[in-house]
Amino acid sequence: MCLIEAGQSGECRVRVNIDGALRTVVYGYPCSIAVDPIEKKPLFHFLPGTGILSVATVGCNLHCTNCQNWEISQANPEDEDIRAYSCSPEKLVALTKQNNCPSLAYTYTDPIVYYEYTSDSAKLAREANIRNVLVTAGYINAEPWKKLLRYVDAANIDLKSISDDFYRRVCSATLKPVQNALVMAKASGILVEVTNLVIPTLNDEPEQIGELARWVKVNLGAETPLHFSGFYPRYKMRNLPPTSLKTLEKARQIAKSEGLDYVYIGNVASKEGQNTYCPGCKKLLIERSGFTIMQNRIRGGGCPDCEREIYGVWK
Amino acid sequence: MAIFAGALWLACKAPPRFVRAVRIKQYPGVLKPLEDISGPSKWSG
Repeated sequence: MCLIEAGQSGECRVRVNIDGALRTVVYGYPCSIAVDPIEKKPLFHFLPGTGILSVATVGCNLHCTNCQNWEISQANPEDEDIRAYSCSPEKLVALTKQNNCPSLAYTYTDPIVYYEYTSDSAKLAREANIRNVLVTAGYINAEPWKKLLRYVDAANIDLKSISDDFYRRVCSATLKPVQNALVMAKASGILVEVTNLVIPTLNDEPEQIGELARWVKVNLGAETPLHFSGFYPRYKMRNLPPTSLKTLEKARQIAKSEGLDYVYIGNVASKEGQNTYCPGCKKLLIERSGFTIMQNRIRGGGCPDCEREIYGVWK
Repeated sequence: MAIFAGALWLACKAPPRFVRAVRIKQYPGVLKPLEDISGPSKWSG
């Protein structure tokens, strides 16, 4: 929580105390709008093969030294090289429809810092039968999170590490609120997928990966998809190499041996690590190549071979 | 008395409160036209 002095902004750079009133500078002014494959979020268990209108404003309440989108997440609205669109929630919903997207993602930076814009847009989107997706670090207090979740259909939430020390050193944040947000999101009934960006030497120890996978299984359930994503040297962390495929495959193997049903590898080319397999009969259900669905064998939300129900929103 | 006043101030000030921010009238940065959203998108995931 920020205590913001008059005339100052908070940690996120986009919420300002003007004459004693908290004002959001970025409401209706996203810096990024694009149509992405939903697999890019990544969401592998939510409307596979569809496009999703994706939106972000500048600013973030975390300051990860490895941030892959630091040009916008750590920018100020006043920065001249980061220009913004003027796009009201009504326009955003209309754009989603124009682009034939069944869902709308609040992503790239963190929807928590443009909370009011996200919340108002999500309400309108729901009225228009458009699904709402959050891609977030989940660093938020319980009360606003609960209010926002009412309008959300799915979320990919980062669990950057299972170590509070990592959150403090790398992200200028803490672990506990993120864990609370994950548990609350899953308990609310929305579809939840989890992403862990694996950074060489910082959070790639097998013991840490195992502990993280166990936490996900115990607190969110074995059916919760977990994505291990590859790191690339960016922002203030250019001294470390990209995560190797071998490390990501090892992480996947550990998480599967801990009992998670759906474990994926992202940000690198991996055939098996991008496919969905039935946890019951082990048969291939969804084959992916990059962000493209090569085949989807799920029928009626289940495995066509053993009829086991597959966690997800499939239509 | 001072301690009591201090404790009262802290009790009012310290607990996290959910405050909905108000939209600012004018964007402080530079705007671009909304027509084209087909450019490359940002990293995700």
